[in-house]
Amino acid sequence: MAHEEFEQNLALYAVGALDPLERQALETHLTEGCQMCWSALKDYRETTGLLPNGLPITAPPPGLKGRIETAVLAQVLPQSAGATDSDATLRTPDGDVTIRTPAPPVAVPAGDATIRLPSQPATRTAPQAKAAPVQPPWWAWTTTPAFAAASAALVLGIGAYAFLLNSKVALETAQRQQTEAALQQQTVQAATLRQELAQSQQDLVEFKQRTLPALQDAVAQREMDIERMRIQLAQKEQELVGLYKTASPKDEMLAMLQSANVRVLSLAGTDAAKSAGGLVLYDAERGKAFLYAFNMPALPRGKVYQLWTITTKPVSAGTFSADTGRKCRHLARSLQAKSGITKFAVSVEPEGGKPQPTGAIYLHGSL
Amino acid sequence: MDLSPKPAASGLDPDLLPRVARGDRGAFGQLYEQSSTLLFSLAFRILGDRDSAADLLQDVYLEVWRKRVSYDAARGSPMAWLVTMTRSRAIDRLRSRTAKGHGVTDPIDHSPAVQLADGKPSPLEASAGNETRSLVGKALTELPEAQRKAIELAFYQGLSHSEIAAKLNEPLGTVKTRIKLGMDKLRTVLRPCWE
Repeated sequence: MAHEEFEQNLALYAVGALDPLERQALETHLTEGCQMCWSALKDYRETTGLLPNGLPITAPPPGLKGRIETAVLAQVLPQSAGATDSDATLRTPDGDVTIRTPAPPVAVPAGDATIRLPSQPATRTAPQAKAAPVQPPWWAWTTTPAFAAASAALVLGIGAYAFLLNSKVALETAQRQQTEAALQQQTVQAATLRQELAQSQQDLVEFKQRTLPALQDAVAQREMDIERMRIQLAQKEQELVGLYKTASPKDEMLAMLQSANVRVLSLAGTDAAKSAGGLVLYDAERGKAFLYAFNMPALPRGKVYQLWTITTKPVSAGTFSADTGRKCRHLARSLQAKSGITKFAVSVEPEGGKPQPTGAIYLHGSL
Repeated sequence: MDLSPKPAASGLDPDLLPRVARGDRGAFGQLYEQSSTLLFSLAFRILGDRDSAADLLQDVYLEVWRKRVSYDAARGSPMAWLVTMTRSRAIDRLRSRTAKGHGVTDPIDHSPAVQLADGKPSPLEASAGNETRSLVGKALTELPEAQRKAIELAFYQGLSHSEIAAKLNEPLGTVKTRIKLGMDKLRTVLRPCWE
């Protein structure tokens, strides 16, 4: 419900015309502290507070005030006499009420509770009352049994009240001490937790400062190691390729020598290379040929040797360079001309080779 | 202590309740003298007989004595507080009586407001010379009959607006509007009494 609706209901609330649910809702709204509604309600209550002025005056019964005062005294006196009722508001009066209590018997109507108190049996003051002269002094009433009984009751009452008050103070003191002890314990626990939290935060900071750089260094070192190993691996692979290139012709030459299908062809030097010579192992079935040459003329710069297989025309079988000592080895693994080869020849060609021989022929031989 | 009844008072000595709160029985007596006639008139109007009204008033004053600290000056004047408390307790008794099957008189047709509307204030009111009573009586007589009747049914008989609507065979919204309009008019006219 909106504030405006509550505000509309304030007049009905003040005059008591709201249904229970509406009243509860409005009281909840008021309890929540809506000052505008409280202010408006105050005016409406002042209005309803004046409404009885529109009634004809009906005087209360003459004895009503006495009845009310008697009832008030009946409530006040038992508490000053040490009643055990624990009503805090009435049973712990201030000193004024307690002290004034004995006086009212003069003004209080007969039959009041305070009048009945002195009716108890007289004690040692009774004989003095009997021995009093016909015209007793003004203070003589203080020696009557009734006064003695009332005094005794008053003393007992004060004593009991003091005892109750003392007990209450002791109880409250004990409760306060318990509360203070609990509070102190909570404070200590809170301080301990705060200290542990600070230590944990410090540890975390130190861990970060100490461990993270080390981890970063280790990672960097690992990365460097990996890079170095990658370089080494590349070198090894290159070396392996070199070794393979070096070792393979020998191995394959040996393998070809062990084959029954391989034919051997001798190559002779031409006029351009009279001292040169060589031989070819030719495996027609697998299309392979292995050349071994010696005393080959030195290659001019930018030139290579090129092996040719000749059927009806020369077909390149690859280029090669000279090994140390002017020796040459060359393996042609996949000859383009796999059948019908009648001759082999070696010429000098530009780097990269040529489709057809263009340079001087150094070696040649026929099957 | 003077036991004679006093005329209705429009207000209370503002110092009385704080003194009663301190346990001042003399102040308590003055509180009774200044408020009892108005409160008794209210209780009698609601309950319809003097004995019940007297019993109720005794309970109310004892409650004031016991719960004297519950009064909050920020929420209203002392008299408004006492009227609210007396009316509330009286309505509770009225409902309790109704629940027990006792007959409830409906004094609305011969209500005091109607008497005031006749322009014949009671001798006590006249002797009191109370401007507040005159102002309230005039404000009530100037209200439309339907508004005044709805307010009185709620305030003096404890009927909710839905009960009033059922009793008068009127639409619910109409009754709410009548009460709201009537209360707003009374508030405007009577405002000088508390400001």
